[in-house]
Amino acid sequence: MSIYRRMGFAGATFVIAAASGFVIQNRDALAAHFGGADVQNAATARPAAQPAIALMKPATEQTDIVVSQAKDKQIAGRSAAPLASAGQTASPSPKPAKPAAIRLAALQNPPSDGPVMAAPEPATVVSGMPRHSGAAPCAASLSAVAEAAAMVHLYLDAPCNRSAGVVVREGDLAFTATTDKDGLLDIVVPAMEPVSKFRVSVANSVLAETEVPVPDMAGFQRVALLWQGKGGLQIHAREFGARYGDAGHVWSGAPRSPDFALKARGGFMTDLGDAAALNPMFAEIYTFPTKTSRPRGTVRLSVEAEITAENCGRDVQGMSLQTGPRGKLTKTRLTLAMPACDTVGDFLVLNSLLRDLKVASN
Amino acid sequence: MKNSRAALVAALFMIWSFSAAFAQDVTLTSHDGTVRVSGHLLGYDGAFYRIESIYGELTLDGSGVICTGPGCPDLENFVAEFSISGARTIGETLMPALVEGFAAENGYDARRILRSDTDFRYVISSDGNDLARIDFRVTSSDEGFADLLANEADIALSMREVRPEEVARGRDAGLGKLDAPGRSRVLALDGIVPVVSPSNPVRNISLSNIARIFTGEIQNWSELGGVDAPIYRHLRAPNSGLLQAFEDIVMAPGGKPLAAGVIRHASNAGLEDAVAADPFAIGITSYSSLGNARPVSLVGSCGFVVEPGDLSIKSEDYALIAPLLIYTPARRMPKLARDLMLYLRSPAAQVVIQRIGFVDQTIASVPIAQQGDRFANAITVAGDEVTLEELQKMTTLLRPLSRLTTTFRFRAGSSDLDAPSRANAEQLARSLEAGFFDGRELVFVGFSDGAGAADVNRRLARKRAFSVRDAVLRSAPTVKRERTTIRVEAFGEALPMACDDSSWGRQVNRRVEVWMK
Repeated sequence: MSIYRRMGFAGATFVIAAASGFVIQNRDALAAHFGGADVQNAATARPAAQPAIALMKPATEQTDIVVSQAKDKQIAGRSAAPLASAGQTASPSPKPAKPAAIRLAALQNPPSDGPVMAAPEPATVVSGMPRHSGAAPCAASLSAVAEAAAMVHLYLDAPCNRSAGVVVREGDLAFTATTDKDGLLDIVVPAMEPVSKFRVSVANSVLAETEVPVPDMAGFQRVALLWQGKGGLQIHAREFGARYGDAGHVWSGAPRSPDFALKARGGFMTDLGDAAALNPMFAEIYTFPTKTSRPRGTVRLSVEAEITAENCGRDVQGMSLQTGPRGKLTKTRLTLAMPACDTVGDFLVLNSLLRDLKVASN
Repeated sequence: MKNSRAALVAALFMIWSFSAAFAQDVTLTSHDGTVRVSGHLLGYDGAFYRIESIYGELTLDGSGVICTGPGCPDLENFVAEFSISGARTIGETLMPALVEGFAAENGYDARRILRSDTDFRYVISSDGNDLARIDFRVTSSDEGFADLLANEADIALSMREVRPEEVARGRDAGLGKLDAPGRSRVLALDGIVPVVSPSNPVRNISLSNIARIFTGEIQNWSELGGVDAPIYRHLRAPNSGLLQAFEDIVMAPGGKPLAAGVIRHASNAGLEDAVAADPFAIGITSYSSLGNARPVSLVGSCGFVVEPGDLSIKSEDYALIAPLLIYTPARRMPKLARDLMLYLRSPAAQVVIQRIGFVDQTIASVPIAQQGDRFANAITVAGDEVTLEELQKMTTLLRPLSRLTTTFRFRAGSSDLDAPSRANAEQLARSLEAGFFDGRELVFVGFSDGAGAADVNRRLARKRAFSVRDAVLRSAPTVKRERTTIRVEAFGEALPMACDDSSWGRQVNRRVEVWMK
């Protein structure tokens, strides 16, 4: 109970906290939001069904299913080679071309006038029932398919969460998204770990989760910037001496595609996050093909934050994810103290917030 | 766009300044009421008050006094506050990464709050309770010392050693002797590197020609074997410690002023980007960054090539070394600040230092098989004064050993160890005390430059090797002497690392190496 109350507070006061000197008053809220727990406006969240947070299939079988699905789908004409090379196709038993998913009993869209902050019931295992069996009509499924350039195609089927705001998480990466009128969501997300674990939640409760091995992850380096609230933060990557506006200047206005990285020509930018959400969370990820890139040298990484009428004079909360000293992805919690409102339209430029990417010669 | 950005950053800096003084009025009264001191509170570290009073700066034990007045700290929820100011090369990425590493190592949370690239704060917390607020002002080595002297910073970051006038002002300001052993430490090492555009065909320049380029005596690339085009010179701003270190080592011996029209940069990155984009440019930057500019190899007139690399910088065989220095005043620091200082020496911190691109101080050993160049050079320059017998004696002795990267060098024209070497002495002493060399044999091997007679040089080299050995053992009072065999040898000018025709070359050659079996 108490944790939900605190999160409710967080959701209500969170997104852009007014700058009041340097005291961060909503530290708890931030910790909750960027530290792992979901803070969607908990005041309207009431789990109508029993939230069940348990896997239904053993992990080994699950990876098999993912592979068979990838074979079937050949999504967007991209090669399924990374999956095939993972050595998981050895399973002799033919698998049905059913979406590979870890099924979870899901929540219905919470009624907006419902009572506030019901404590969740203990988790219940829902065994593998087909979606239309009637027993669990709201079971949501999430499937993940590894694609080239260490990208993961996510499919969410949440029949009881139509046109609903959800939070998609992959480790520390988090962003908001909205399902369509049938409760489907179909997005491509950069993998941040060799085995990427995805979780989709709505109103503080996990809707579905899954994981997928990403065999070509080691060939890419990723840098991510996450932030709360509208108002654009942008990563600007200037590859190997490129100046602003040059071909080697990669940013959301010139993001390139994963194909560019596959051809070992340079990096690309991915923008995630849905501004329509109540408390929108955005993520921008720069991917560079470290292993295969022919050009070598330094990629300058800078962050530009547009000073808008919404964020001026306030704090924008965020996080950066970069490869740390031990080669693992490490996070840094950030607060950007945005300049005063007479500078609206300008950009706060931060050249040393992200470390430059050094692509060493072989 | 660019101008408005620059203006914006400047405006930000004025609106938001973290370094607003904390000074406020307090009165400290002893429990029996007999002693009473009023003044500005300069700091409270959780145990001690530090106040500026009519008697000067006083430090008072908090358990003995009661604090009254608007400036009194919250004793229940004490949050350590300290500030770090100084060199951009250190403060821009390395120090933030180390603060984050320190937090991670201790299970603390760290949040970075940014006003701008140069003005930010870390809030360190544990279970939601703030433990420390660390303010950063990232400017230059000059500014770091100025802030330290003005009591506006607790820790100064510098790419050069403190200057005598700063030591004098520090003593007047009650900071103690800033050049005393305990006041500074070497955080890591960096190299000062001349860079050109990758499209520039010139690969090697002698260090004396580098000096002549920056005095304006050399104006055209054709004088260096390049195309017929004027040379554009790029340097960091005058308050940069990296630049000052370059001036001290390379420019000062010639005594000539810098050429007019040098293009100045506020950061290494800015300089590197400008140089990389201009095939006729040359600049001086840091080995830790380089960016997309290409380092130029330094050749001596006698044929030695000096290239910057992790091992050559760690062993100071590369002549242009810039140690990353941390200065702290002679006053009590909050416990968390002291813990941070301890962390900076830990193996975990060395990993961070390496990853960011600087040269850490972990002792590495280099077998003789990887020193082919050095021995080839020795054979090439041997002759009148260094005989074949001498070379054979040296090779026979060193062959079964490995050279440690720990090397001792001396300040110009002095028998005092330079800053990195003083740090080396302490580190070697700690390793000895920790039993790192138990059961092994360490040989301190003295070398000299080639100026003067060979037998005099050998005697000088032996004397220096003995004094370095004694300095190391003095720093290691608890070492178990019977566990490590320690010997001293000297070979004078037999194994030169650089040409003897310049002062920096002779300085590189005057050294004490440590070898291990």
